[in-house]
Amino acid sequence: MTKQRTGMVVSSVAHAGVIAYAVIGFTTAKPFDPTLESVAVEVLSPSEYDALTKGDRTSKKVENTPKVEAKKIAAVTPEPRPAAPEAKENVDAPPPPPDAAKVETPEPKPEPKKAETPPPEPPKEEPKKAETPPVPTPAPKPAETPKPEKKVDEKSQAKLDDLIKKEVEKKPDPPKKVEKKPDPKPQPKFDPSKIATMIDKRDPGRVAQAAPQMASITTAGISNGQASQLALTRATMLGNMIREQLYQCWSPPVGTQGMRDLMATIQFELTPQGVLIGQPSLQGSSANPAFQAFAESAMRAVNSCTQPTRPLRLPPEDYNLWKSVILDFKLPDA
Amino acid sequence: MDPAIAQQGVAAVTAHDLSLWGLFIQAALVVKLIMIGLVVSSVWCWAIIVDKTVLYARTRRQMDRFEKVFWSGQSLEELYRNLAPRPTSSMPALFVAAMREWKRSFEGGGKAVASLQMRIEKVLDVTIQRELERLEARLLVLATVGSAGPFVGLFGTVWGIMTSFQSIAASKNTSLAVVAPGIAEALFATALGLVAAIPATIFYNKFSSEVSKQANRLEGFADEFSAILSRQIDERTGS
Repeated sequence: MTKQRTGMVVSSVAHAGVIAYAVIGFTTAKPFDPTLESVAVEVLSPSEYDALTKGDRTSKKVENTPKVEAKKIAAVTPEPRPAAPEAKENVDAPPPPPDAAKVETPEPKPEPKKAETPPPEPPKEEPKKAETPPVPTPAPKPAETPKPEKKVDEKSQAKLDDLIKKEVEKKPDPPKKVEKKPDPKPQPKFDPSKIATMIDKRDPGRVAQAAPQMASITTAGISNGQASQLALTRATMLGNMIREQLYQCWSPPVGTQGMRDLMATIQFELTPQGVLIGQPSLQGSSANPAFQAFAESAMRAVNSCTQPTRPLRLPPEDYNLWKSVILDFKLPDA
Repeated sequence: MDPAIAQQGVAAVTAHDLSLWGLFIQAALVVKLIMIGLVVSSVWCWAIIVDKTVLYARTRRQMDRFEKVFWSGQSLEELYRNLAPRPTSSMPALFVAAMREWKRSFEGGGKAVASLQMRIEKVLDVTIQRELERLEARLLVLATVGSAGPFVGLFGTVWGIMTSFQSIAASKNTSLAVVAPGIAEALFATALGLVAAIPATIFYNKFSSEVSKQANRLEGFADEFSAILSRQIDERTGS
């Protein structure tokens, strides 16, 4: 009997140990990260999207597959790459010590000169292509100048003198440029809407119709376009923004490609932060056997794109309009 | 809508205690009972496993030691006098039982010698049976837990999944967040069943082979010993 009891004691103690370890040691399961692999896509702005579905007023063709008007981006004359924002920073920076102010005043002078210099944009914009070899060398130097100025504002005035010397040494550079490019452009402004064209590294001389879907003239909208108004209202713009963001989270189930009659209407509510309240609900149903999987993939998309870690980004001033959202998920035309 | 409240709502939907303790507490009553039963049976199995391991090791040692002494040429009378007063098991028990029968037959003046050989064999058989019973005791528990444990756990799982499907039907929501906790709970029951059953099966197989090995050894000894005794009987009656 004693033997039996020792066995029981050993076994009970071991089990108690294992259970205690399980309760204490096993912390709660880690949740899956809902973030999906991001895929680089071309971003459509709301107005572009509307243009896509509603088309051009002047066009008379109606087609199922919309065509985007291709613009010759090469024809766009981008503003020169600005020393301008840097110059702004300098101006804004409060110059508390009078010495620093003195230092700063001469500096804006060289920068406007730089700005005046570049009438032919390509060489300035794309120094890597090195169409004009001499240009790149002077370009970096003026770009460096603002940094030391910041330091001047922050740091002791002892370094000011050295910097002034440097500035003086650098000043000889700009005049060279002026000699090279004589026709001046007045006051370059930093236009944020032109960033895209400035970043664009593609060949500015490329042909307009690169993709087969592009046409020189847009169609008069698509035959199944749903927007009721031609004008881009606030509501449709919001709808487009929501759709744009949710579709990025959405991976339609395999096998539904091309099933264009599938449509899932999902309703959900959002906090002002763009976070989901409660659960999204599905409205209506369909006899299509693929519908359930399709609708669930749409609900998953709503769920995963409205988490606190990844909220919907919508203009907060229109919260009343997007507090409660009813959205149709449809497959894009293949 | 107050964002703080909304945040809480989201948290309430997604927050489920998924620790092992949480899984147990949230389970339905039937599933809970099954889990408790499986844990208890696991404790019992391991108690048996520990006991049997110790018992078999001791029995093997005992047999080794006894065989060494028995074949060392020591007088059987002397050996019997040493072993008889103490409670014995396995091989010594066989020896003591056979010797006692032998002694009793010759103490009475050698009258009951005719069927002594038969009696000794009977005694040896009975003793072997008793010893084997002792060795095999409670092994069936291991066998039962090993074969029934997974089924019991599976029953808990089926029950848990049933209830979680009922809750799906009730809430009319098929999102994975609603289904998953119930299924995790349910699967926990199967996990416990397997935890109890796997060692039980392994050790049952090990122990039953051990028992049959020791039984063979006991039978071999019994045969040898009865041969020795039968020679002695023939020598004594013949002389």
